[in-house]
Amino acid sequence: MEFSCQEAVPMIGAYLDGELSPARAALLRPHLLECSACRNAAADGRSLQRWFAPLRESAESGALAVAVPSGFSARVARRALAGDRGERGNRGDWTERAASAREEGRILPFVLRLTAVAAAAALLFALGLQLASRPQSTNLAADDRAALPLVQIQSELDRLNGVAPTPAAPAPQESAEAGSPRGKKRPQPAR
Amino acid sequence: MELAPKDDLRLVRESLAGNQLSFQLLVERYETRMFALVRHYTRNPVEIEDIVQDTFLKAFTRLPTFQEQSSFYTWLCRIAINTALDFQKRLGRNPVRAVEDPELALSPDRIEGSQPTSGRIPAPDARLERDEVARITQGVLGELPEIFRTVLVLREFEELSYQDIADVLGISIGTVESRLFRARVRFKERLMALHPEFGEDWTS
Repeated sequence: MEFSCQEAVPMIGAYLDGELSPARAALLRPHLLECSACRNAAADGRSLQRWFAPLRESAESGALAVAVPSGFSARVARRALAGDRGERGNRGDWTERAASAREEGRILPFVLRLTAVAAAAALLFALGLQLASRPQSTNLAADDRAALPLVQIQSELDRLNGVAPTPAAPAPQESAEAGSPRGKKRPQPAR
Repeated sequence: MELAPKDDLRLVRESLAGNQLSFQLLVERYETRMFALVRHYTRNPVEIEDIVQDTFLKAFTRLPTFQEQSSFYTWLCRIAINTALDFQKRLGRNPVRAVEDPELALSPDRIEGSQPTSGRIPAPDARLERDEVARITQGVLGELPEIFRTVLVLREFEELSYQDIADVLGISIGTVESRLFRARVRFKERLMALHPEFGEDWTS
């Protein structure tokens, strides 16, 4: 027979699967009748199928059966109709996820995830508070005071002491007022 | 396919019209098989649920592109496998694809296992429980490169025809045949490597 084992062996699986075209099956069949090595290969193919049948059965009704979380189909249908396109990262329904996690007995991973989210939120909140209580650069703060020009400090001190602002070159009248004793009647606002 | 495609088609059309209950019935019909299929890509129950959920949500979004003459289940399998592989990639677990597998680049006359005498595979020991055999098979499958695992799962676990596998994977029937052949050789090798005890009593 011209048909070689090398040609025959890769076809055996498809033959056993009933997927070989009639023309190719007609080539293989007489070879199998003559070649015991290829008949063994066909027996191997059948043995292999016997490793998979228990996997199918076990996944259907045995130890490997998958438990679909209760309410899964209703939840998915609701999301689908609400416009969730199944792109990961846009999940927000924590109550539903908590419910399904509880049903599945895997509340721990959910709690851990929730804790992580809560911790991140608390950190952001604390940072926010710190930022809010921080003095703005326009406010007068202890650290900022030294950086103020001397003239500005002086006028600020004057204002606090109830004295009219002191310009860079004070008028004689104003300097007399500035020299007056404390407790004196507050000066009128600048005219 | 064992499930009536006409019934699927009715539910698909009603879902397209915005009927939530019809889509829920479609999900209900296939959710168990989708969970079982996705479990071949991750064992983490939270990840499995996320992947299956995304599969159905994507399916709903793409319902307008569903070809009515094709099988809804096959169409769903394609979305599920792609979603599972995208998920793996996002987690940095890169599945081995065809181009990265050096053994797929071998010339046909050097394909491993093309000699009929290159090792025999025993049937599972009759003393083993069904669930034990299932766990062994699942363990061996889990060790195969994704490209071989997927084709074996679609044929041996989902029992799809070569044409359906070709549709799911977007490859030719000839590629299905040769990939399946290589996948079976790999499965046999891994089975014997992980469980040499099964080969001891074999006499040809």
